[in-house]
Amino acid sequence: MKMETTTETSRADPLDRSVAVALDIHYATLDSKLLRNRMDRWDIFATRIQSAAESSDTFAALLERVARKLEVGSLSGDAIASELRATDSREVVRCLRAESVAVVALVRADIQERREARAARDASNPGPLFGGAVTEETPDA
Amino acid sequence: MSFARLAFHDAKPGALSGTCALCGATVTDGHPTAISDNFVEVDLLASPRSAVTCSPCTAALGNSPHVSPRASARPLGWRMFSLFARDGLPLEHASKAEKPRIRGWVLGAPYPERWGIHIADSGKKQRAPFAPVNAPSGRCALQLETVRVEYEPAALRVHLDVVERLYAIGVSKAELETGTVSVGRLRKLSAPEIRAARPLLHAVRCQSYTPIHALAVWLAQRENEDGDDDGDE
Repeated sequence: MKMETTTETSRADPLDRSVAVALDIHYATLDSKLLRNRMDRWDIFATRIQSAAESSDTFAALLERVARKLEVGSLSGDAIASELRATDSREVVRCLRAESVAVVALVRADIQERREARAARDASNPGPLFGGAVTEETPDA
Repeated sequence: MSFARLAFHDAKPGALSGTCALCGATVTDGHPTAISDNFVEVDLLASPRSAVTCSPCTAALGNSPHVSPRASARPLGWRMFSLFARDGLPLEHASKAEKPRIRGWVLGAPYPERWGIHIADSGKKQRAPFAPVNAPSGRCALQLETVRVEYEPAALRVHLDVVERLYAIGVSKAELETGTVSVGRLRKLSAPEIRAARPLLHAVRCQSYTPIHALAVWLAQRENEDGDDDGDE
């Protein structure tokens, strides 16, 4: 839900669009062997995106290079699809080139925010079986 | 006028005549050259083959009145102190622990008389005699260890503010120097804080490796820091 909001309202701001794109890239690269179980995965993620952006002048070229550098077959997502259709997607490339650290830090903050929101929701709505979180109110057997 | 002459104008005179190896002045009250064999920056010398150094340069290469607080109690050379010399005023000196004072010297420029500042970082390099001397109320230049920094005090103040704000949120001096801040440094910040730090990150990235940036990073301090060390260096 939040993702859609970000993409819809961010047409004017390249930073928000870049964050949405980086979030898509992040989800698409969760299985990347390069990033898995690495302490410095966020730094690798940021520097690879930045170096890809520095050597690309179009958004499509950026995606191709990011996929190669992060060792994944393909990249997909709503924000990526939206930027591929957009005519001003070079702004995103420029933003990722200049501010990759801030963009990735915002992606990280966004993920953390979602995680906390989900934890809060689970805590307030414990499920009957396996899905719900066990809270302190759960009576002991 | 050399920095050494400005700072040590009342140095004890010698008896040798010749050209000062360091500043190139022709003197009649020189000393035998006191340059150590470890000194390799021969290109800085005005007269490398001369066996004479003038009395101010000799004093600049010599020992300060301070002694080591350790058991050895050996005298500490002037090379271990940052120096602030002004024409007609006594020489001021400060150790690295007194960074706020050095910062005051640097940001207080320009001065109404001839002045010069030499900042010692490692305390191992004999660079004081080669520090620049500034004309009254003119351009500002100083020597930061081996780097000559020309700066505008107002611009330096603005850049210092940027650097200190990043330093305050946990970015290390090593990262500030290179302008490459790791993502992990920003993990404790909320999204609005990261957005607020964007222009700072951009400014540091654009200015990295410039002498004025090196000076700003050197001078930067956290608010609760008492000036004795940088913590992460």
